[in-house]
Amino acid sequence: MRIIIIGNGAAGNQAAQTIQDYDPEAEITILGAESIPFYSACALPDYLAGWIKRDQLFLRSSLERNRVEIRLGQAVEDIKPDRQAVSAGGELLFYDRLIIASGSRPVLPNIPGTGLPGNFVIKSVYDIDRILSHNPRRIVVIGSGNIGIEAAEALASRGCQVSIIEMMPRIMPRLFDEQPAMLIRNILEENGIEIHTGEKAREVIGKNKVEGLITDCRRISCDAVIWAAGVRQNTELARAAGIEIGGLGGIKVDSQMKTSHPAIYACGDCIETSDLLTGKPALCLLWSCAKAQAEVAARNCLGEEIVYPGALKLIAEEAYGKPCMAAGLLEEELDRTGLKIIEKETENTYHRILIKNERIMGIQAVGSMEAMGPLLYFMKKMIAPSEIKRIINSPALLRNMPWMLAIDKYWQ
Amino acid sequence: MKQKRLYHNTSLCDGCGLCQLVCALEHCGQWNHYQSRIKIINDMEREAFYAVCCTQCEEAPCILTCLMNTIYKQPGSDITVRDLYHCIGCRACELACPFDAAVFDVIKEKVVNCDLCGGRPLCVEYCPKQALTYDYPGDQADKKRNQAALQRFGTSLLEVFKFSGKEG
Amino acid sequence: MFGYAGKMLEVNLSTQKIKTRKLEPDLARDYIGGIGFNARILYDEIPAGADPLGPDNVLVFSVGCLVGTPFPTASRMEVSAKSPASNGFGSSNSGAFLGLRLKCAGYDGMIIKGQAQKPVYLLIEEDTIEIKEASFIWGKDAWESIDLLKARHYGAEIMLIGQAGENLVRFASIENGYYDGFGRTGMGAVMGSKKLKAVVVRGSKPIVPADPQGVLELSAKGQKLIKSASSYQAFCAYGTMNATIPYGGFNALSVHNYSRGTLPDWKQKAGRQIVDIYGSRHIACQSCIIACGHLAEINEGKYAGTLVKDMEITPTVSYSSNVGLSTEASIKSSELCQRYGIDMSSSGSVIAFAMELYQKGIINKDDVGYELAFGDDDAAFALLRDISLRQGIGDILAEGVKRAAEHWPGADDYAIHVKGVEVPMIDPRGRWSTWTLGMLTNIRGGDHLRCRNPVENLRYNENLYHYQKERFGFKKPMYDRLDMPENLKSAAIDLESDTVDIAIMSKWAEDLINLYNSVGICIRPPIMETIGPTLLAEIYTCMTGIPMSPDELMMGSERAWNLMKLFNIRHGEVAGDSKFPRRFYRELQSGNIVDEDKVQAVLEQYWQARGWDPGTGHPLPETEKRLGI
Repeated sequence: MRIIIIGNGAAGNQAAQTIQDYDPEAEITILGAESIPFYSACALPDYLAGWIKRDQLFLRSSLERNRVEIRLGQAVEDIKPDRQAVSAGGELLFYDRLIIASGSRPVLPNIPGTGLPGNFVIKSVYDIDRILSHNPRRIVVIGSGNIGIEAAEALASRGCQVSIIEMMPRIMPRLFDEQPAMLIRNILEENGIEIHTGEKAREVIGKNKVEGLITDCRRISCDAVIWAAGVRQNTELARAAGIEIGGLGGIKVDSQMKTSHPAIYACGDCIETSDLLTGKPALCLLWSCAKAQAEVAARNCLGEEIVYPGALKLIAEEAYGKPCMAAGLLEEELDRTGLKIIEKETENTYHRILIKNERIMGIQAVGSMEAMGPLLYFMKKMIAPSEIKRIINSPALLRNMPWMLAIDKYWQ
Repeated sequence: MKQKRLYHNTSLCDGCGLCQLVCALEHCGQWNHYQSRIKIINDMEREAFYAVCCTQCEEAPCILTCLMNTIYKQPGSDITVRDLYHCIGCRACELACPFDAAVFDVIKEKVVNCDLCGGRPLCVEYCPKQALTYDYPGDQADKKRNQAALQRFGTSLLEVFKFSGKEG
Repeated sequence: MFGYAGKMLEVNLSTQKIKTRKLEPDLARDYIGGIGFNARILYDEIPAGADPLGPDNVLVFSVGCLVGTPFPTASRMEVSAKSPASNGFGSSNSGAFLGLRLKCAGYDGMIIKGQAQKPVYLLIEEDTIEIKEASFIWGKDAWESIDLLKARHYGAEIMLIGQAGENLVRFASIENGYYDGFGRTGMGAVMGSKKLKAVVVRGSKPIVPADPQGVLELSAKGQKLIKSASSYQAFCAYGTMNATIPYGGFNALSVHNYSRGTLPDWKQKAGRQIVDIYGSRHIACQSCIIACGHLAEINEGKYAGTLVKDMEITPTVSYSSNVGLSTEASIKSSELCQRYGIDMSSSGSVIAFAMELYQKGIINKDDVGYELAFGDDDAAFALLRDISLRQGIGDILAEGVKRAAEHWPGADDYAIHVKGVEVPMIDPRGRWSTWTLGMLTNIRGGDHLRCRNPVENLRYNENLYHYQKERFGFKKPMYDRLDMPENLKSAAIDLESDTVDIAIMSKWAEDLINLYNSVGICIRPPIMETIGPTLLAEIYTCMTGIPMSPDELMMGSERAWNLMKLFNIRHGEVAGDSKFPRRFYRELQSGNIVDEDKVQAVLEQYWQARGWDPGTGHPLPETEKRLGI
């Protein structure tokens, strides 16, 4: 079987790995737009901070060279579904199955000044190389999602002065509820990062390079602006080939990762998937989701019929040494009927669990990761808290599932 | 291929913590028993000590979740191992582990797990009460546990250990 | 610095100043750790005449230097201060997990000076130390306070005082978690006088040995040795309860305030079978391979629902035989003592004292408020409460038997103490041994835990045999395996006559136990039988990198012991203080009394063995010079 994979990122590589594990005879070609080998974009803030070296970004791979062809710097020109081929680098490549793992790219808003040198995004290792060679001292980060916060901390740890501009009333608005977001904000502010929420960036100013940023409320002089305020999925190729795009903007796939075209699958950042907990369409642009989807796509390609249960939003972060995590839904995403919130705060930790109709719908924690793994497992498996309590109260079961004990304190 | 796993007999364990000490010793060079890859939990209410340690899942969720593709099954022995050079300490694998068995090494600032000391687990050697043993899974005791889990949990423990990591 | 954390914490509660002291290499090498450090610090820093309950008293906690290794039982920590009971060197030792936690927080010890204005607790989180206000737990018992503190400080180890310490009861203890404690000599009262309710410790710093492989191997060796001890199996199964029946058989128990030597129903009440009946599971301290402690659980009857670590001979004898309570009431008394934060030995003795006074008509119902009788658990617990809260007659009894007796003429005859510390456990009229001599020679006063033949036999009882010798009771293999220098061993033990020279053996045993308290290991029989200075010196060197021979190690312990004796002398102890309560010399028990002159003779032999003046018991100048004090 000949399989072509568009995209040399997390989804693309995982798909290739899975295919190779399950069918060693399959012929695989990966077409990667960037000219550098497979690396993890998740580690870019660490590289930016100088905590890891550049070569640590490039990941170990057990893809066997003689079976897998990796073409770097080969942007795909178009997909020809009726001929079961793609054209890349002037060549026509035929496939039995195609996996689109084209990923996403960061977007800049349509405001003046975003073309000036000194505007950056954080998506590829080249972006970081550029930031480092620009050597900024005073930076404004737009967007306080995961990437924005990590980039801000990375730059602050290099000795730069950093401000964060966030449009919504609290930081990390899609990840944390108000209380934990406030705790994280305190940690960042205590460490010298300036944060302004409820403000939008209006204009980047400067003669030949970035010299400042104007928001709704203020003007900040800076020598670099980092845009971490949103991404767009790379669905142009699919759209042009007539593959159906979902309402939220990602490639539409069924629960087996199949697109509207037979023999074409998609996975990773570029698709529109469904949320594990609500079943509704959702965009889940996370590394771990990409890998899981890729595995489903790959195995379905090979004829095994397995189903993807849905994506779970999950992030793990470290704010100045304090681990933080968030999973599932936020309070505002759940309607209030039948909603129970468990909050536990001690001097150095904070935990929040959202339960609706006997199902765990959201977990957030600041300061400690203990027991979060098992709790997440319950969330995924949709096991009711009353079940957990029953397990905890059964010595025989508990003996075999001791990790339950760490969760016990949440149900007192 | 079957891999032997660590088993902990809670009725023999008295919470002396020697397993934690020797584990930290062996893996950290320096000594810090809070760095141990096996954690002993003291349940005062039910008067028992429980051990939490990597169960060497066949389809380990941590492998799939790792943001740096750093975790893999050692070819030949099938032990879940990590290539720590690439680990950036993001702790996503800690969250992925349904057993709370991943340990954050505060010295290296990376996450580690029990690697069975390469096949001769030191904690088993040092346990003064033989509460820790090193055995193949799927024996009589496992079958009993699965029965109990099936009744309560709606799934078998083997299923849990096998852990299909397809959920994102 | 290897092996040690490298610094000690110093907190002055009067000025609220917190600083760290570097651990000087000389102090480490000469005094080893644990009680050794305490001895040096208290000698140097408490002025003569200081009020034990006043601001000049210094409370020192030091962790044993081997804590943090897998050496079996390396878990222990010692607290010392000027004792409000004896006015001399007060000290107490405890295991569990606190010592390791303090060392992992980065400190080999903690020095508390001054007095706080209002109740406070100390929060130690590695390099962050805070003095926090404690009004929300002041007045509450120890278990309740721990619950409240644990809710605030996740994952911490806690040591604290109960109401007895707050009320300056002279024999109040410092509790170590729910189930362990620093019991004797009133350290809880010192902490209470400083208005320090609790110390909360969190920390996970590494401990760095000089030769990790060496420590690991020697720990494995230690484990093997201890497991081969003759007492190991029995001790694992029943702990110290193995000794209750033998001591009953010797007529050597403290019964009803030492008026008798045994009880007719002793075997049913306190034989080791009660461990099978009430004991629910073993609990070990850090690195312990024995786990002698048991959780005791009462499921029915008056005290149903009691769950506490118990099945220990000392509190059992204190409440079951001295006060005469039933088995279940005695288990309950352990819970109450833990909650109030009061010493189980002394409180039992004080209650027994009050009961005998009542029996003899020296105090009556009007004085107490209710009737007292041996065996009456309601009365005993009411009195325990009154003592802990200093209510009614409890206010007088809280002073300890020595001072309380001054209130009632004739009460003095019934005050069973040595140097102000209540005598626990054993009646020398029933059995004379190193252990009972130790009551007089102990730095702490009337106590049983610091002087004991490392291989005490429980089979023979040549009662008052010779005063100067006790029966060895073992064969040559046991003699051979004892880790003592050859010439000392042959002087101390004579295989032909199967005897032990009490004076010589007492000095060795005291120094050995003191060494255990310096390195931080436990004094249980399987360890005393097999672990000596040779192995300890080797592992000390591997741990710290400081070259140390077995002789130097023992000398370090001897040095600390002598320093503590000098402390006691400076704070008012005289030779005449080392005598038993009058009752032992005057009243027959099982047909015996203790001969005062013969005791004095063996005491003087002991002083000679120590290199102290045989007339006054004062360390001689050449001894001080040899030890470098």
